[in-house]
Amino acid sequence: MEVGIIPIPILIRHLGLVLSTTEVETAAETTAAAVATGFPVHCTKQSSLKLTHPCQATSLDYQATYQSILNEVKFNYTEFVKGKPAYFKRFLNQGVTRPCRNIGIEMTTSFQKKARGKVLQIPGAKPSLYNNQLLVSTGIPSLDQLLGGGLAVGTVMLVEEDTFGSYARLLLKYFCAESVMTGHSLMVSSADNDPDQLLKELPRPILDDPGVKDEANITVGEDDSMKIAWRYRHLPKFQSSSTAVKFGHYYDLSKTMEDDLVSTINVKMIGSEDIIQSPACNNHNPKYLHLLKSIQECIEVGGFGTSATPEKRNILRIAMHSLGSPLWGENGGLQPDDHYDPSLIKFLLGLRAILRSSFGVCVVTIPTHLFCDKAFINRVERMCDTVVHLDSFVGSEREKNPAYKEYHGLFNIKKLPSLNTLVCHMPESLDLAFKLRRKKFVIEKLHLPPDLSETASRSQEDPVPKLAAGSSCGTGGSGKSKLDF
Amino acid sequence: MFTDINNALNINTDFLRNPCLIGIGENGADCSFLIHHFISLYLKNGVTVVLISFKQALNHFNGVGAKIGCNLLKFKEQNRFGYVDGLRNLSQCVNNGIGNAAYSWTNCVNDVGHIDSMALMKEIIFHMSSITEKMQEPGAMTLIIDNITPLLDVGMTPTEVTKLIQYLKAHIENDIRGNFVVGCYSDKIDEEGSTLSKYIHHSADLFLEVKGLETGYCKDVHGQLLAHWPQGYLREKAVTKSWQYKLTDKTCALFAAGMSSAVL
Repeated sequence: MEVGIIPIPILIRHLGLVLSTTEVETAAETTAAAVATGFPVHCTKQSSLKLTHPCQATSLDYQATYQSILNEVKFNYTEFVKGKPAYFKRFLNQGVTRPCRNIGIEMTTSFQKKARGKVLQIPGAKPSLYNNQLLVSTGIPSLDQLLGGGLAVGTVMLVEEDTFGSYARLLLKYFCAESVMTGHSLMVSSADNDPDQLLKELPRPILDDPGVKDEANITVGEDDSMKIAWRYRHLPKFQSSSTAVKFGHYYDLSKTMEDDLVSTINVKMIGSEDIIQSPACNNHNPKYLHLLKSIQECIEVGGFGTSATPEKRNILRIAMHSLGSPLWGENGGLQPDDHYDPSLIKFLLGLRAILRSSFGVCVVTIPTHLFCDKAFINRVERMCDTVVHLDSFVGSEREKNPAYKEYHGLFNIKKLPSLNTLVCHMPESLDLAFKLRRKKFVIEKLHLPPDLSETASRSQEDPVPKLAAGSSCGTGGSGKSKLDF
Repeated sequence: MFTDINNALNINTDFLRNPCLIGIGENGADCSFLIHHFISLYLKNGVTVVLISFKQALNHFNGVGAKIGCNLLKFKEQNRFGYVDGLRNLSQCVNNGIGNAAYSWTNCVNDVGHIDSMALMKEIIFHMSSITEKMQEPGAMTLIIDNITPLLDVGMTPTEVTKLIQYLKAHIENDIRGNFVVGCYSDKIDEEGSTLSKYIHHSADLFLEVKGLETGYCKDVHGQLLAHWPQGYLREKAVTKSWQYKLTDKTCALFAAGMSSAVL
């Protein structure tokens, strides 16, 4: 369903939405005009618009509603042109959620899902569209979409690190930055680097809150600023509702988040000096035990358990950087005498058991490329709910491959959770790749560029090696059949 | 209860009342739909079910049960369904007591950290008997273990796990005259796991294997289901049948390979 078939100005008029543009001057006029009366608003900028609606909630069948609105628009366009405010008022209470990448609009909806049980309202978390599961954002909107809306609260996400670990660390930074923006409590653990260092390198959020800019502008020049919407100058300014914290933010990687913003949330850090002091025990890795104990204490003290009743519910985000690295005493599931060492598996089992009965979500990065035993890696994957694997091109011959020149690595989704449902939500395509631009990190479908080489002699080898069927999520197969559904 | 699966496997009331061991192997595709099928099948036919899950919490089973038309909470109130939170109990006993389980299995673990299969069997039997005590009239009972492989993953040797399965099978078949459904992972790469799944395959009366497609992920066909009836001491040829399946939100559709509705 393409949004581009209807010009944006008409769409905005029909939906009666609040506008906030990136242009400071037009923000004040358009915001005031749109909601106050619902009359058509002429928008001067057609690119990089951000629309927000006063009431935010999620919708189950937003597509159906969206389609019906579009149909109405096509049929009743003439009515709109004559300017019937009643029509707009109807649409003022309806809305649609759809990220429209080609135009850059993101709209939110006021639909309320008819929930059978009471819906828990926690800032920064929204109920899933597919099952009654509470979701939080990972900080990367493209990843949220692939996971079916976000990470389910109470689950563990495993990120299998790339060879040098830099992209996995970046994923964790986004996760922590999202925690700061939504006000969730955060717990960071890292044995490789200081967790403090991770928090100093968080990307800065891109904020374009129209409310803030409104204040700055009103005092400056009111009479000469409204050239087009001059009729609405006397109308009251619109206050965007700040009760609902946004789900999913955009970040700028070229700048770091200010320290005072980071310090607005509770952060618990566990670094290498904390785990070194853990007492030894004979059947388990003491460092993992110490970490598990700290997590449980943090949940009990912070009131994050499902049976606890704090006045204000919040979510605990746990970010574990490079768990299972040699600094944790892990040797790929093998003890020094080559016996099986299940400590990491026991830890992950304990972590999942604790999180299932608490409002916590965990993202762990594990350098599985260091583990020799493939069966051990499979066991580790089985212990986690969501498993993704970053396969960067750095240092391999694929870096020079012209097919991959736009991307920095492949993104494999190995497992998706199916909680409270029979079938898990599958993304449209499993051929995904990621790229790190100067300002952001994006995961998208792998598009091969057209082969425009005119030389007669082509290399015999296929430029893109067949993505192994075994890496697709949900099914596995070792056969190399040419049939691909 | 998925009618397609019932018809395909010829499940009738005789099958439900006679003691048997049903094994479910998972190799690349998610076999949990079979577990949900068996839970609702037994509950709807008047058999008490005790479920031990090492993979998911009770909310998940409640949620899926509500979708497929089997209200687990109602059965729980009628004392026809019992749930043992294997995930939390096992994690607490292997992690030196860290965790918040309702009842602890700490006496199953010795000092060195190895889990004793006899002690674990006693705990499971204790849970089963505490649920059957509450039943008003005696009836048939089934034990369903969602997945037995996490026991292997946390360090039990395959010998110990097979001992546990053997003890439980003997107890259920002789003392209780009930059914026993066990799920496991059968991965070719994992040597210990495949040993365990082969043992279950050979000692089961019906073994169901859920595999992924060799050609990779497909939206319309989610995997293959193979059913094997090992004949034991009878000198007939063991029967193996296979189908492909597709899961939707509320049901499961079984069809012969290549007969998917998307293709026809």
